[in-house]
Amino acid sequence: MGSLDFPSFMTILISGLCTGGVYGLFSSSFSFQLGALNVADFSFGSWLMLSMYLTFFMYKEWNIGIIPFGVILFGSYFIISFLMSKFIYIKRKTDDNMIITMGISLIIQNAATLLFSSYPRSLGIIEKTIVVGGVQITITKLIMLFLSAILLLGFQLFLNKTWTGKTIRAVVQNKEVASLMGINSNRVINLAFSLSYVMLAASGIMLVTLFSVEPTAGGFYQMMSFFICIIAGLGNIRGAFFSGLLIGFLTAILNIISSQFAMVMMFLIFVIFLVVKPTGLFTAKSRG
Amino acid sequence: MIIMDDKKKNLLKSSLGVIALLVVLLLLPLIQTSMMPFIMNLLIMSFIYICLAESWNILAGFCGLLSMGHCAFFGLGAYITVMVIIYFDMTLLLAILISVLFNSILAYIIGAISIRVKDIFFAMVTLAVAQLLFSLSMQWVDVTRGPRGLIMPPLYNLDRRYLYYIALAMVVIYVAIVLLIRRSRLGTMLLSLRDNEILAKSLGVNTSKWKIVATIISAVMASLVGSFYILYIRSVQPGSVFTFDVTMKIMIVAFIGGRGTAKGPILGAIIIIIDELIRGWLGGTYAGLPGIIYGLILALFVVFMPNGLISIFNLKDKSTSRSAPKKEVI
Amino acid sequence: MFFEVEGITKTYGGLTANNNINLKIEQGSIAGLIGPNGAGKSTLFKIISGFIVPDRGSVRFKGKSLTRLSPHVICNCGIACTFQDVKNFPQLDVFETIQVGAYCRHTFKRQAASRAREVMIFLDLIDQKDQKIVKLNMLDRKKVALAAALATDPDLLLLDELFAGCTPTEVSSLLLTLKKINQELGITLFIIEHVLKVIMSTCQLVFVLDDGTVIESGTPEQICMSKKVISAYLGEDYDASQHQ
Ligand SMILES: Nc1ncnc2c1ncn2[C@@H]1O[C@H](COP(=O)(O)OP(=O)(O)OP(=O)(O)O)[C@@H](O)[C@H]1O
Ligand SMILES: [Mg+2]
Repeated sequence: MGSLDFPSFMTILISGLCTGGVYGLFSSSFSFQLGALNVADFSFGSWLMLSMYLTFFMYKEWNIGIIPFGVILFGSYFIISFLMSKFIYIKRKTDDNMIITMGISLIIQNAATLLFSSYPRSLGIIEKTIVVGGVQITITKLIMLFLSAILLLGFQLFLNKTWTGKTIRAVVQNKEVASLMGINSNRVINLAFSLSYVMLAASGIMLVTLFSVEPTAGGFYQMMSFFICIIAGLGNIRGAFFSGLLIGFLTAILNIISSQFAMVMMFLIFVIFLVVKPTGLFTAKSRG
Repeated sequence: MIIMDDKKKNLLKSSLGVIALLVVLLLLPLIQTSMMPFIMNLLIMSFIYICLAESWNILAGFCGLLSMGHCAFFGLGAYITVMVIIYFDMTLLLAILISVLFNSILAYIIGAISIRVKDIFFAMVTLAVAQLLFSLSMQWVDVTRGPRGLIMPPLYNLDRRYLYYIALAMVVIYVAIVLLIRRSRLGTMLLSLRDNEILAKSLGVNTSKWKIVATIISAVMASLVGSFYILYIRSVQPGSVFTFDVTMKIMIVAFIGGRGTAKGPILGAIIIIIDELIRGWLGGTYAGLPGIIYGLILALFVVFMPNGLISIFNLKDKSTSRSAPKKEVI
Repeated sequence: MFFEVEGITKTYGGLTANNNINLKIEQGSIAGLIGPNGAGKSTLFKIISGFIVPDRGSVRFKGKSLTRLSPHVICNCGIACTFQDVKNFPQLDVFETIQVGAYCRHTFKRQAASRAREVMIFLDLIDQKDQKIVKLNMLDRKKVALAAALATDPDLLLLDELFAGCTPTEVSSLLLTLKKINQELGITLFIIEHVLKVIMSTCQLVFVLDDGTVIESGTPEQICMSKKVISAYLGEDYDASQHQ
């Protein structure tokens, strides 16, 4: 650690922060599912991985523009998750959902191995960097950080300002009262669940610009999103974004301390955190 | 009185079936064919997973604690056993004892955690612990030799037939333990805290204590399987014990048989046999296909047969099996 | 003193659920706790049985302080309770549910089983022995809850609205059971009740809770006469003589 000069130290930190932004995005969509809708989704990471793969192939092989691709991807994620929520998840207990989603995760992950092989794929975007006082900042990463912040802000606005968003919040806060007021809470839950999947698909597109993807990548992101949204406090979307930044930061620092044991330390911190403060750091004042 | 007779008859019938199965399994190694090593390997692998599923059942079935890191206990058992033998030159028995000790400590910690965090949090903690051990065993190359893993000294090369009998004995003992627990004070206490923790507390049940006891029993059982695994396979790598695949297999066996039942895993082990056969048949081609089948089976079973195979056979073993778990829809 | 609550206070945010509550109960008596909805009755019971930690105050039982002990320890000290919303173990049958309580005093299965059988005979539940609780009717469910609590061998039994949702005949039959528990087993009862008939016909001592404070205590007759109670709880134009 001693040989590291200040600019390279900052470079690593800032890069960690930008990565953390994208982590924050998918974690907040996960947090939304988990805390607000009470769906313990273990297939989350795999869907993310799938979205990364599809983006990769769209870019490298399929030659469809980003906009039609986005429409198709978001649309199909929306429909699939809506149907799954409607016919499977909503009727079952948390335990059963955990196992079912795990099965789905296994299917996606192995289908990816079968179809795409376990060889890691990377878009290999040539990184443009700007240098400020010796500190290198990668443009793609910076863009992704801002993009995730904007997407989240948009989602927040949607929840706070539109009628649909308000019904979602009403159902999340109190199902019974909402259904007394004539809101069909099951439909709203399904809708909210599918929205979180659209966010997830968007995060996948962004992630693949930064990292390579392989079939087992989902597990890591799954773990990360759990970690992040537990630090934030379940259901706290804004908190999840900031925790994402925090974790990006922390990962960078742990890597500087010892790249060999960075993951070990990460999990250790996670376990300790879960035990000491399972309610989270930014415990929700504003849910949603 | 007539009802009692019926019950007794059923008991007699099912115990006759069990005895017949046992006799077949006991005599099997005596047959001399070239297929025998293959068949025995198949059976030993399924015995290993039956035992692991029984151990998992104690937490998930009795306490309602869904352990997603059960491979941690298993892998730690295997690793510590072989490490003690390699680095400290101790006897096998001592090595097994030490691995049990380590696992009990880990279990105590996880049990203490289970008092603070529930449901999905508990699942995550156990998952994280398993991941931690995986990373540690991958990275701490000086001690664990990283991904290459550790190899058991040749001193302990046991005959496959002995190993088979040991595994079979373990299955019998583990099933008996779970049946006994169900009928004992521990079982009543655990089921009560799983069903309604607040009510259990109000009736004087020290829920924290019983959870820790259950976790330790479960961990020790898994640890012993780990020790057996290292004796049988003779080498251990992070990827073969600490990955989520192992936990997944354990859960699949338990689920397909019938969650929370003592006899369920015996039926569930069919999946291990099918799995080994498919893998053997496909060889290296179509990587991922077995996993897809696994995932499908797991999801379909929870959706369409939440009580597992045992519910068809309807072997009523005054079990903890659950009625169709559906939550009320508002 | 057998049982004593001193200065119990509990607030939720701005809401004071219990405000400086003091009360004493004699051994072997039946005491009642009444008050309008949201008065803080259940909160007090939960504090006594250890499920809620009070902000201030203490609970003393047979000369021992119970404050800050966990629920199962308090149960071991001899205070059992039933909950307002009847709780049960969905997967256990009647016999086993009662055994859970019996294990509080007995280590071995044989003793616990015989204790559970005793209680079932006492409460006339023996026919339902092997039923799952979810299959029982409301009265039997309540009896099972009562039986499980009894199986812990309590000296003081807290019953939170045990009679809610029962028909008048069921109320009478449960009432007889309660009296039997009090007289034959010598167990002190402390009951929350909205059915005034129960309070008036069984209790020697009644506490009236309103807005988290004890506004009156005394015999049922005194309570019926009290101006404070009538205006706070029973309403201005309530005719007390009806319920004598
Ligand atoms: N966990 C809690 N958080 C916030 N407020 C609470 C909580 N529990 C109870 N309260 C409030 O405390 C007050 C007292 O509640 P409590 O349940 O003790 O009333 P009660 O006298 O038992 O009423 P009831 O007759 O309806 O059973 C109520 O206003 C209730 O809303
Ligand atoms: Mg109440």
